Amino acid sequence: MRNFKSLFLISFLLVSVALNSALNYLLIPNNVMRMKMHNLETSSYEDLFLGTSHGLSAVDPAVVDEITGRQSSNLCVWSEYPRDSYYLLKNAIRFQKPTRVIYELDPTYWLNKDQDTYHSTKLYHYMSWSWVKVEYFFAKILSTDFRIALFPWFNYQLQWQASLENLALKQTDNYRNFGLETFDLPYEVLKENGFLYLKDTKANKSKNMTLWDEAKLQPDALRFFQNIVTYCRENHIELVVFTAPVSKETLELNPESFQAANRYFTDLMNHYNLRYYNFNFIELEGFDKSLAGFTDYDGHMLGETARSFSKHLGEYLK
Amino acid sequence: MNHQSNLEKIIAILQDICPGVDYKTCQTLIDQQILDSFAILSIVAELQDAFDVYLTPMDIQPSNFNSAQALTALMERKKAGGK
Amino acid sequence: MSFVSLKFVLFVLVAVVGYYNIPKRGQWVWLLLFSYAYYASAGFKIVPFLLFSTMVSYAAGILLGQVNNLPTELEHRQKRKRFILIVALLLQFGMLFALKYAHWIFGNLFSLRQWLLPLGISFYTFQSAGYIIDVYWEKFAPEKSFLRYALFVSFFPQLLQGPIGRFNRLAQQLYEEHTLNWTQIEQGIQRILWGFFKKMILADNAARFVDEVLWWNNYQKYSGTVILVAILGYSLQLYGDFSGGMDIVKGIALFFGIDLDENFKRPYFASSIADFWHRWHITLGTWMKDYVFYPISLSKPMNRFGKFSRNTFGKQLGRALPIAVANLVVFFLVGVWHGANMKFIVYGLYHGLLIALEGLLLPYTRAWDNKWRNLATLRTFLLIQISWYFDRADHLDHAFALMQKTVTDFHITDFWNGTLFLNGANRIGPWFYGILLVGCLILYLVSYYQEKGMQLGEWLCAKPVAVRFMVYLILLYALPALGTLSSSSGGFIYAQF
Repeated sequence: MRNFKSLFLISFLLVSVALNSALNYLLIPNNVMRMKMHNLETSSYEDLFLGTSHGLSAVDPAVVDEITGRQSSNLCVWSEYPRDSYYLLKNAIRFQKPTRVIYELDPTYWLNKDQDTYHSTKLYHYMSWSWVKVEYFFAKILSTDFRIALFPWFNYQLQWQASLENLALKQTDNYRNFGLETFDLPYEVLKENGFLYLKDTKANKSKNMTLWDEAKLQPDALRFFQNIVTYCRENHIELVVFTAPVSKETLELNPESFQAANRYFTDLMNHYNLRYYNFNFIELEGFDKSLAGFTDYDGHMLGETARSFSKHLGEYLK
Repeated sequence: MNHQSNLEKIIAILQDICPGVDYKTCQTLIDQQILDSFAILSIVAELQDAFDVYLTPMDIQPSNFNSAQALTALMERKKAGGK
Repeated sequence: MSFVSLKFVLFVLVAVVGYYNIPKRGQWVWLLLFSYAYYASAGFKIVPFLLFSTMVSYAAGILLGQVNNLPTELEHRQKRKRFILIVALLLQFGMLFALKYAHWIFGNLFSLRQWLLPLGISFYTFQSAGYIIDVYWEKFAPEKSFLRYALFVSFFPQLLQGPIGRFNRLAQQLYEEHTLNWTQIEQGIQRILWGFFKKMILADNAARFVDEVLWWNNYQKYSGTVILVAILGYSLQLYGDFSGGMDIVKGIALFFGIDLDENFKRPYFASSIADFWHRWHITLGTWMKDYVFYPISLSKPMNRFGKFSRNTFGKQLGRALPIAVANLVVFFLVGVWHGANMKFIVYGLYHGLLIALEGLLLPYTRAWDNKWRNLATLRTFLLIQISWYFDRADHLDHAFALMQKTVTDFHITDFWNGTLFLNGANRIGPWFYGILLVGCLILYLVSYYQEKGMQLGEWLCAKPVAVRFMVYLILLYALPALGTLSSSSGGFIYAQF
């Protein structure tokens, strides 16, 4: 009886694992995070950008590097919360010896719990095995919905029609060699070193956004930011913090919210003795802050806006 | 009043409140949810009047309400001043 | 630690494996340790509340037991027992009141609510209060060991959302030594998979639609038809969420060889509102019945009122009236139990009034309802939908506004002209409705056979191994394939109460 049950259990597990891998292979398309992790493991950088989707579409390392004369990589991605940034940084140090980390700070990422979004575990899944990954597992993955943690294809559950395409893609050399071609899409293009160039395709700009509310500040966000600060100090890495600008229309809609966030983070960065640039409140000569240069009110920059912004950013990072 | 007439009186009360059940034989009035709380309280009210006793929440137990016989026994215990 | 988190899956795994590999004498201690670890994982600062509730009811039990054994007169004992009972209940419910309701009545000044509402407090307060009253009634002797008693209050699967357990049925099972029983484990797995199916595929999918339509002022964008569909969706969501949660709880308890009380028995098959409450959140209903309804109904004033009522209004009405009054009190409390909000009180009173009405009309409707049972079921279902407006709305005015719009802005054509296929970020389309419809069909079939008295779990256990293998595999993979993420960040609706 007992033997039979173990046999049942083991075969169930084996079939499960096989099915799970097959579904991962079929359903998960090529992914920006996969590319960033690959860059990290194969190239070498002096500057690392950490941050959110705002940084992802605002910082073009090519433009920044031209001005600073350094080598940088944009490691910002969607749903990268301070907790993720911290482990991403620790993971990066396994391959890199950066002298500076530039943290793109989106205040609203400090207000939400970071464990239950579809994106929560993507960074984790593309990390190669190491103690950092194990640590990250305990700090984050353990608390997520078990489907996010165990079934990476969960996020793509409804995209069966793309499975044949994925299957074909994964056979190509381009995919195997981490080529950028698959990311050349009508609405966005992934560039070298992790910059996502957004194109102007949306007729209506979404007004969805979270406003700053200090009462909702997540203790974990603060804790992991502090970890980043400490980690950089211990490893003699300079830490610079900036907030990418939103459109002036957005700012006019909710000026108090942005001012309050600015006050809070200016104080916080002073406390840590860090350089902090909030570009919502810094005039950048020749930089057009009108909504036309953004895809939404939340402040995701279009590609050309981003390049113009990156030029200014480069000046501040020189 | 003898036991048999008590039993008949109780069956009459039961028939009146919740008709259509064979109370002479049924032993699972509560277990099979034949009597709901509504019926139970109606029965309690009638029994209290008929036997001049006073029931407490402690008396409302399946073992006391599962059959006409059990109810009769309860009434007789109460009359005798027991618990 | 949410039931849906990976952490919880591993937690249960460790708990179960350890449970059967330690000396059997220690099994209940093992459960106690895991129960407190589970509660503490939600924050150490809420543990004192659980401890307080445990200590008060434990001490009350011991004291009541001592008085019972005093060689004094019955009357003298009764007096002292009543004093102990009242003090203990005041402490129990006083804590609940201070944490859950005080801010509602006195404003934030006197309330602890602003800093926390300890998880599961409504459940464990009721469970321990029930114990105190049972000991007072001398249903059983009080538990002497504090630690054993602490396990009864804190048994982790049921700690956050019930079922509200009874000492005489639950405690002994917790303290007993259990031997690994694979059939029980398999049945536990079945219950858990089925619970997750209800929660993740039915409730959470329905919630996406429901939340979009009914959230604050969003409803103004939609027609009455859409609001009605959203309310129907809510009835699916709430049932899937709460009863699915209960299935998971029961399944986990089965892993430890413990059989918890059922909290649901196909509520939407009910043929009357009273019947509905025998099938929905059963343990709260029976708690109210035993500890509120009967004591009120059998109290001296109520007895006098009953006599008066029978003398004045005749047999039928006279009998029903006092019961109706007691019922209203009970359902007022059921409403309040859900939270400090007017909408919940109206929700409770609405049910109480309907039950009272049913009771009064029973002599006239009984024959009819027995003959047309399906119609009675449909009537009950529709009446319950009305109550969900109160339950789901953000506040009372919101509920009335939703109702008004449902009636005044109702267009039958909306059912087929595509209005129901909301677009936008919510990914709601034909596919979404397909999942819900097929899911409902499966739910209906399972419920139908259960209603016929079939034990589906045992039935499945008797099937060939290949069949079971496939069923479990499909159920497991359906969760990520068809389910969605919970909108309430991994939580269950009733875990907030």
